[in-house]
Amino acid sequence: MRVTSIGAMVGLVLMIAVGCRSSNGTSAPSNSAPPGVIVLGPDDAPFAYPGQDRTGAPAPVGYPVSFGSLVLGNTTDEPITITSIEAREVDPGAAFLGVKIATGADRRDEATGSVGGFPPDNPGANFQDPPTVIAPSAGPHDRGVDLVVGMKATAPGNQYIKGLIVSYRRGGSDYVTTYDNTFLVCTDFAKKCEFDTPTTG
Amino acid sequence: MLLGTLVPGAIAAASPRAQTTPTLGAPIASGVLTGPGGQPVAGQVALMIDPGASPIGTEVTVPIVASATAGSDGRYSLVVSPDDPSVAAALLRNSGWVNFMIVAQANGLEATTYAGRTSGANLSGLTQIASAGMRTTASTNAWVDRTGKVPSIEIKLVAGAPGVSRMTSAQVADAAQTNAAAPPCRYTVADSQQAGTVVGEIHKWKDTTASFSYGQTADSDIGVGVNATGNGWSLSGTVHVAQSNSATVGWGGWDPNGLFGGQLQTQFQYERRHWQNAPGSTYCGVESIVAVGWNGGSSVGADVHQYDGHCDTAANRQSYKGGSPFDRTSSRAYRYYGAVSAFGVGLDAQSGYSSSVQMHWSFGTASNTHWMCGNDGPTTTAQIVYAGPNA
Repeated sequence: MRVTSIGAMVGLVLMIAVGCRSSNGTSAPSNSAPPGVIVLGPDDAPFAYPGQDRTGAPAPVGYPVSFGSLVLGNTTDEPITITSIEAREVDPGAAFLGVKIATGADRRDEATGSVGGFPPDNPGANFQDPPTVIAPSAGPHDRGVDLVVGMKATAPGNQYIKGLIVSYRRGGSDYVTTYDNTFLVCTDFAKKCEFDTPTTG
Repeated sequence: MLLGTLVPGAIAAASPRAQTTPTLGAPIASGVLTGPGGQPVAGQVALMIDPGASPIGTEVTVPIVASATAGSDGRYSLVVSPDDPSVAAALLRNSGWVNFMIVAQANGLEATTYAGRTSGANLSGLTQIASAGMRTTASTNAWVDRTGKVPSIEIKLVAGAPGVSRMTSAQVADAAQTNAAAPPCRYTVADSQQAGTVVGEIHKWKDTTASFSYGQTADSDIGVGVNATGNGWSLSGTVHVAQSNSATVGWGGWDPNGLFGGQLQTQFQYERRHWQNAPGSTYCGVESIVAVGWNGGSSVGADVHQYDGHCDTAANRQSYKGGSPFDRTSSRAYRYYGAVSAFGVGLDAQSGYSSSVQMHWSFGTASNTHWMCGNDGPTTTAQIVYAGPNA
């Protein structure tokens, strides 16, 4: 079957690290293609643009929702530790519940697009909280780790979280990078849950 | 600063897009010439900027803007500047992308291939350059492909390989005398036509609405057909079409309770060019078919819905809650082999999900769970995203 046979094929890579400064304030080395944490995707190729995908879900005020799936990998030859993952922008009517890092080999059995509850019910996920170590990629089939974002609305309306800030440590230096993903919870069940701005084009 | 408050002492970094280190004189193309068995060979390499579309019958002169000699290790490196008027004009015409033709010669063989690169150069600064030949202080970033990489280009100088022809004795003699000062090449636009080209596909299951948009700036790599021997066409490299159009084109409006899986086409313009050697020129003896622009329009091509309905057991499945919306705007789409037939020659095409190429799904509330799955990864990164069933 096309889906499963091809689906077994790949693991790609989207790079997120760039310049950096060590925790003692001195600049760490940088180069034109700095290694680091990467977002896994097809073809072992970095994205031309950082992820700007948007995912939403309807949920009552106060009800937690989980969103996936940013897949991070490690293209370097040494362990990388994800030290924290924070939300960049949180609407006043939303609450960021954190990010769970799915490391289990069977986590894709119930992988999250959008689902009620946080963390989601996924026995194979082996969810962890930062700090979490990502081992060097074992090759193109290495699936890295999945990020699952948790949020809830604390007030009625369309409530957003925009952007994730991923901090990580490699070789004694701290790095930070940002993804532009957007997450939405819609509390008004009388309306279709949609983003307030159309898909940009 | 926000980052500083989140991670004391740790300051970072830019997006992957911005992480290329500005490097004056960064090569637009580099790689290796190889012969039989993949062994490196010494030879000559020349680069010409693709000038874009022209009316049928136009004779176009194309200067060689960079040339190099590869030593016994086969390594070559070709450097152009965004300040070069022909480069600046190409960047402006193609939304920051420049397409070029590389011709390599070694051991009595000549190979022709195409590629497209973007530099991140300041386009507003280039306007003056293109119009008045002025120079600018615009930085010369690394020239990268659509993935943000600086790929090496291997040029195979092997008889029978794509884009390879045997040089005449006169060419060999001329090549020995000219290289860096080689005269320009010329081609005649023999024909021009538009053809529907696959730029993506979208799949939806029941209780779902879906849409796909392309533009206002095109974002596709399209294969180039080269007839080097006069005996047939082969694919030899790609050009990147990033031309802006007056409007985004879209597909959608399918029955929310129906199934849909289809390849999506829009119209690109293609030219068939007869290249010819100007007196003293040695680099231009082929015929080529090149995408030169995007015309817009939308149509549906092949029906591929038979791949849907299996996501509940697929390796890269994800579940979406009923009532959820999902926008996909990043990573690459599938490479479609034979995505277009231009002048009877099948060419490949590959687009990228980006600010210009996007998919949207809105999952209905009649089902609690909507299964989606990627062909080679999760739905956020897979080249193709399949749909169904619901649960």
